[in-house]
Amino acid sequence: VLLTDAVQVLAQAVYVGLFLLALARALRRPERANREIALFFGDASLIVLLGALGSVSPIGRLPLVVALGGALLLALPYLLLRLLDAFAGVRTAYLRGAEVGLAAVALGVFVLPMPQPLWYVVLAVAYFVVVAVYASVGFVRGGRRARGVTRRRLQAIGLGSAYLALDILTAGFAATLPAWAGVWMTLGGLLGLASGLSYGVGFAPPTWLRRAWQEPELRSFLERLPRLAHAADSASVVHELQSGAAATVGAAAAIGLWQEDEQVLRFYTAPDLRDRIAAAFGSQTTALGFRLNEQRDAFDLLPGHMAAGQAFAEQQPVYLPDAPAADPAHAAFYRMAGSLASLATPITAGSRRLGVLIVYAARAPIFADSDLELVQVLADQAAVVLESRLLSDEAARARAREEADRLKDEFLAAISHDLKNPLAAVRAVAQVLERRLQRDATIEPERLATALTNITLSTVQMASMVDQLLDYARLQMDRPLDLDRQPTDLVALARQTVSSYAGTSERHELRFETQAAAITGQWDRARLERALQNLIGNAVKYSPQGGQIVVRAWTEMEAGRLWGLLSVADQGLGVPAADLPRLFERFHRGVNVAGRIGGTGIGLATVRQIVEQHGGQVSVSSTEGQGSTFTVRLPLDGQPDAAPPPSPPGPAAGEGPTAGEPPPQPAGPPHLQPAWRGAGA
Amino acid sequence: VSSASRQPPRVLIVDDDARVRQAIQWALEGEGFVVETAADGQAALELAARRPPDLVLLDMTLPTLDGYGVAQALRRDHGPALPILAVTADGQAPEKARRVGAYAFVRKPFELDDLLAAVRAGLAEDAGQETRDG
Repeated sequence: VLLTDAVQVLAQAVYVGLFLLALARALRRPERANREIALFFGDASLIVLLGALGSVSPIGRLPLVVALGGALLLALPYLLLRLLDAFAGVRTAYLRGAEVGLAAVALGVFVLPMPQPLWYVVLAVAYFVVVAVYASVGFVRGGRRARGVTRRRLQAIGLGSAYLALDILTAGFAATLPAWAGVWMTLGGLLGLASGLSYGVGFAPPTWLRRAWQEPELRSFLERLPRLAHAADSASVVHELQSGAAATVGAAAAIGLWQEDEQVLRFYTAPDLRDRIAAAFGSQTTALGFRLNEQRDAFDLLPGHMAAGQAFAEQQPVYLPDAPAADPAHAAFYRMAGSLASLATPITAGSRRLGVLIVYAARAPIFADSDLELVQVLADQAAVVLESRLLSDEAARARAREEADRLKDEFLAAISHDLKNPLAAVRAVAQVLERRLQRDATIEPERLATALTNITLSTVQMASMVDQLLDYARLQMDRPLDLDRQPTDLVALARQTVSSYAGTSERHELRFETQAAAITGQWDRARLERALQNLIGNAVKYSPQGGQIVVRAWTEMEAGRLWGLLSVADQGLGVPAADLPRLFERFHRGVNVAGRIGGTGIGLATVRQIVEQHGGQVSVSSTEGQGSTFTVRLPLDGQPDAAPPPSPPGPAAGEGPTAGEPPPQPAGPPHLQPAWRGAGA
Repeated sequence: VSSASRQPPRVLIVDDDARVRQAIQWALEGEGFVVETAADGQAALELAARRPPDLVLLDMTLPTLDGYGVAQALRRDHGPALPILAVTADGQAPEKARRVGAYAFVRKPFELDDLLAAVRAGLAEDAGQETRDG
């Protein structure tokens, strides 16, 4: 009996203590969730206090007081349901239903005579059990969906409800089996104590407990950080930071990266969010601070808009427990992104503003006061990683720019140098003829014919160079070529080009192989010839030891289309595997030849430009030290409109090959695949 | 002035562009020079070895062995007195000409009069040296 009393008093003290704590919190931060928690513990405390009153004073046994205790007990699951609504959401109809039920059974407590009729007792117990079980299950399910601290909190609340249900059950047993009353009472007291503690831990976890729960997630996040700065690309760094922050806080997280040149915060999100924003806001999109660019997996936000933009603009944390109410203009977005409660913190390294970290949840009580500090810590860590990432990116870009500038200068020097030879020939021939006419006024007809032929050939050569220069300028500006499509036979073109190279090198054996009589398509003959000249010229240049150079032409059916193929294989230096993905980029040259064999780094970029404008692809397979094979594929069915955009190479992210479309190139660079979801700004 | 100088001067043209080569050849032959032509450095050295020229018109950008290599080999085989006239198409003509020890340079595309004047100046200097030496 003494033990039973002690346990019961302890359970009562826990409920009253938790009520006082919750009340203090609700007064300090009068958010809805805090009020609901205080209400719930207030109700529970009143129930235990009235129970205690009944055992020490006759006032507690007055019918009205007993009825009041009963009504308060019946209200408990309803208050739990309201809490579930605050934490995870409950359908309004269910809430209204619970209210009507509560009013009905509570009325019964006051008006029906004691002992109450059986039908009423059954009804009241049924009401209590249904609402309590629904709310408990709701918390447990919410916990399953959540992670980190939030998961544990919601699980604790579900556990508290289970203890409470068992507690009520033992009270029933105590009433029906009086012989064992003492045991039931002790057990009930223990269960009450356990439920009180579980509720306390779930609804109002003390800071030390939150910290302990967050510690493993925070630790693993911090352990991953040093490696992050070396990740393959900035997007995967952002992705890692987001998921680390989300796991640590137990909510969703998003990072907006500040784009200095465009003056926007860029969020990498689920691909559909950008389109949903466009669909939801229409003409309002710009006015609300969104900037939707062509990048489908990202959207931009102007500083000053929404929690994230505000935190960035003001450079201090912004906490919106009820974002739709605080910022009604963006309410639809907050609901769409599931970020009804938002906590945004600027990511800033020293004076350099890098972006903003936003932690968000569908419900406000997910966050506690200590989360503000935690998010600040996470944002500071993110700043360190992002800054070092930016610095190394900038250094790499500067190096690439310098290299590109140098190669551009070399290219221009080379082409202007090459232009001067035919120019010199024309001028010299003309002046020789002029001199001759001045002296004796006669020129031998053969010499005159040769001279005129030389002039013509020189101007043809110059015209071709100027064409190349113009194509080069288009390539520089990523502008399409103006293709002159006409029936062109790949076999004849290749045979002629190969024979024009024959004899230019003694060390190389140049051969053309084909089984086809003709492969005729609607192509730009001059450009294809230039592409092939580039490939053969490269094969000669990059096999300084000589060897065979084999040009082949054939046709293939693939993806339901007929393709004309041309390949150029050499036995030269080959391309290092690391250079393969970028080989067709302008000014990019293999590390094994850059600085050792002269070149402008423009040839293969030109080849790719020409081939892709024809709707085809160029690929390379190579083993360093053994040679390279370049293969050009051109659509034979002549669908000029099916041409893919000239660059970048490879299939667009997120788009699989569709019927009638060429299959993706194996040699394309790995594409950014944004695999994470989440937004909320 | 010795009687040897009555012989028409021999000029070797080294240029990989056939049409440029031919135009210069016509011009020089029209002035009474004996002209030999080479399309690359190796051929130039072989020709010069067979019959030493009085002057070399040397293009700076040649395949395989470039202008510097050719100039170096010519100096080695024929001594420092052999006049070399550098012909270039790029912007650094003066510097390149100095590096190969050419007495002058001509930029492509050139005025025929300038080229002929430069050739005559080179031969005169050569003749002057021979006179002084002899």
